[in-house]
Amino acid sequence: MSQFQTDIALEINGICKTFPGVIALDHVSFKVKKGEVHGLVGENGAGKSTLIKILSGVYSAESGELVINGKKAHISSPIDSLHSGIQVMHQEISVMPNMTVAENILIYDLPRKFGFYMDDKIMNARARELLDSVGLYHISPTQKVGSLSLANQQMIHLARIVSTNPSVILLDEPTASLTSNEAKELFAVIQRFKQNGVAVIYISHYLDEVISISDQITVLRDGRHITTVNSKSVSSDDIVTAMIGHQIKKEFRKPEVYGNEVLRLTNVTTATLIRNINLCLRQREVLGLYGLGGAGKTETMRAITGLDSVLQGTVSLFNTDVTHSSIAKKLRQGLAFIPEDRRRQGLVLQMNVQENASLGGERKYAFGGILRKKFEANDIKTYVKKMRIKSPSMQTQVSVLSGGNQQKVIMARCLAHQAKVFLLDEPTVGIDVGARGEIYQLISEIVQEGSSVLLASSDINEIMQTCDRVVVLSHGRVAAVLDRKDCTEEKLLMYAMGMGEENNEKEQFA
Amino acid sequence: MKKNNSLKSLTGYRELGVIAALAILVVVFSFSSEIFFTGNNLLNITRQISVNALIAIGMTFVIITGGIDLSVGSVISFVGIITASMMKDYNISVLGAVVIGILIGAVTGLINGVFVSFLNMPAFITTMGTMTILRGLGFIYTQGYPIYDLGKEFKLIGQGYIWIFPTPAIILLIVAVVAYFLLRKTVFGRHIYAIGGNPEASKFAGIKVRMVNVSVYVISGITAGIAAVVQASRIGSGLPTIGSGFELDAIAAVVIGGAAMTGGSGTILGTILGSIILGVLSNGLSLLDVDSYVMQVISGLVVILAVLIDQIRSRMSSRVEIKKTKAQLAVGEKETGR
Repeated sequence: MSQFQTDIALEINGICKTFPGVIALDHVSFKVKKGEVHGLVGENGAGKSTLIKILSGVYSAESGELVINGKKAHISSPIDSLHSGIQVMHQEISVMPNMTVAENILIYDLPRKFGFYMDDKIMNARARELLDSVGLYHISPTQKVGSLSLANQQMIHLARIVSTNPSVILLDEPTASLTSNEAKELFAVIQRFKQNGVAVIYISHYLDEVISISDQITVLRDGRHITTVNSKSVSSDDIVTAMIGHQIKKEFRKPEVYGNEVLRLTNVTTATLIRNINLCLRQREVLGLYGLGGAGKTETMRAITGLDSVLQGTVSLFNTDVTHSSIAKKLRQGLAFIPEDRRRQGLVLQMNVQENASLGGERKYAFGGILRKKFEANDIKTYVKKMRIKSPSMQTQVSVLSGGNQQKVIMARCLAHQAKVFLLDEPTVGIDVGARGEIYQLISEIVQEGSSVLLASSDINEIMQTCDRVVVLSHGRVAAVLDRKDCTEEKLLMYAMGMGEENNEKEQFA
Repeated sequence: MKKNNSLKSLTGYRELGVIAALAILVVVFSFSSEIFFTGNNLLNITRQISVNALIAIGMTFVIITGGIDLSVGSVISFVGIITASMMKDYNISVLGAVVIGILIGAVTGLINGVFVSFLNMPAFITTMGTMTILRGLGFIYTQGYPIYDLGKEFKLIGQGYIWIFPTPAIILLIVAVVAYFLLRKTVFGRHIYAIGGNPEASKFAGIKVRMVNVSVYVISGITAGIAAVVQASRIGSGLPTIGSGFELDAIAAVVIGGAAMTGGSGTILGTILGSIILGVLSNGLSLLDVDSYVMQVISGLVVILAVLIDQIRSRMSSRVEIKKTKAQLAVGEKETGR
């Protein structure tokens, strides 16, 4: 397509992107050749997602340039990105389940008769070719996509991508929802892309996968390009070291004296991701739940609260079996759940600080169902102070508060409800560094006062800084249980990426 | 405390807008009709709006949760028929018949609520179904004929006075006060706003979302039942044809009063004001001898205008919110680059 003869499909040149308070990408440069599979790895927050969003036109870079097939590309919207020949397959599958396979594949350019009338015959024939090209010989173009398996839906999306003849394809965690056999089929399709001279950028948490499929691997850390290496001459240890870098020793929290067991999961299996999860949490303990995206952390939390029904195994709270109790009942028994998506699942945004902080626990302030608002205000105020919530007043709508303060409102609610066991799911996502420190401080205060915390996080630093013990999840199973003194970032990352040797420590706690 | 409660200041502004619109209508009608601004006519308006306002009060509860109740119009006729029939055909006392009537309203609400809340049916479809069913049952029961000659005592409910005030207006006042109290002063009321604002967060906070959800339909059924008794008493009969379209008038009143159909907002005061606007409009226009079909066109326009203004304001307020958030981001809120 280009008048320049070049074997470089995509050149990323000094890309910078700043968000207030953080440099997401700092002069990142690397090149991807035609017919090359280029692995992109890095910890959470390393800048992978920001780069994907810049390439797909969701964000625009502040400086630097993108060169595609020797031509400088100006990408400031998703449409620009498509026209430049970049196609992204995101982690979440984006197909329209109520439409047919053919319609889904050719959605960008449905064949038309007389300008508006859809031509089914041509459409189905074209779809057939594209299906064959991704190896889906057994799927008919006229099937409804909703009836296909998740893996096949993903392949349908891939066929759609092929239909646009892209020069660069970005695959973001493509195997997250695939079985190993399905992953093999995907890898076969990627090989075919290679032969056709398409450049593939492959992003995954699973290092072994990246090493085996890629030709080159680029490591990002803290928004910077660390290295690009040939995957034939590199070990996973080297890459892990590059991902982590040399980091300054952090202040760690001192453990308290543990009390009795407060929460125990025995062989918990749900219909979602998790299989045979065992863990136990003691009084005044902070137990970390570490894993990469899609490892089953949130699912474990949901199983504990009962939002996902437990198919097998038991959940016990203060030595009583609560496996099938309602969430309201568990909350009354002292459980507190602080969800990851605080705006959607934690807060009623139209309501004010006071109303949100007493949400669900208003009976405490009521006499015969009638709210005594002054009493409520006084009581809530003590928790708002304790949590050091910065808000103009108790009557301020929570939607205008910062993420950190919103999180603290939910924590204040749990304290007001006399919670004893706190489930925190990614408590500092989207929160600035300063407020993060405060949340860690609050966690240690909660524990000092005799409560217990189960903290799910995909941020290694967060886990290392706050937890006494860490359960590492990988692919929905417990990969390891480590005491903090035995934790190193390398170890945690290895287990999380499914590379640790079979670990015996998990048996000790089962 | 100046910029403290944007919700409250917004609703304050919201009701101010409705009051201003009402004032304009009153002034215009007072100048163009001699009869409009007389004590008699104003009291007459309170009687005219009572049925609509009673239904709208219950509807407010449902709409705050993000639901809708289309069955209320049919409840008006069905409850009216049964109440009338109890007195006429079964010689049950006025009080007994009224209680039975209101109970039927409550049961209808309970059925709606169970389907919507426990069986996860869309509110629109469920209540449309009960609307049609009740309408049909009314015709079956009466064979299409009205039940009349209901006795003086019963007629006092809709046609009588307490001192100088029409009885329906007094009933409306009592129901409105109770509803205001429920919504604003009780835990239950707080939970209604919470589940309308964010059902998921409410569930995670331990609120019994389904129970609250059922209750609002029961409340709507009860207020519709009360309205049905007033309506039957005003016209002195149980009519299978009455009440069709009343549900839409009630929704209009709630929406003019500032509630959002998406849930989470709405007040009793706003709803009453909305109902008064519709009442004043139809009273004033009929005093001016405006054709009743033209009146319909005007009422429709008023509803659309009210919602349009609401949309514009909410867009403006969300813009203000975005600005605030941006300002906070600039201060040092980090967006994760994951």
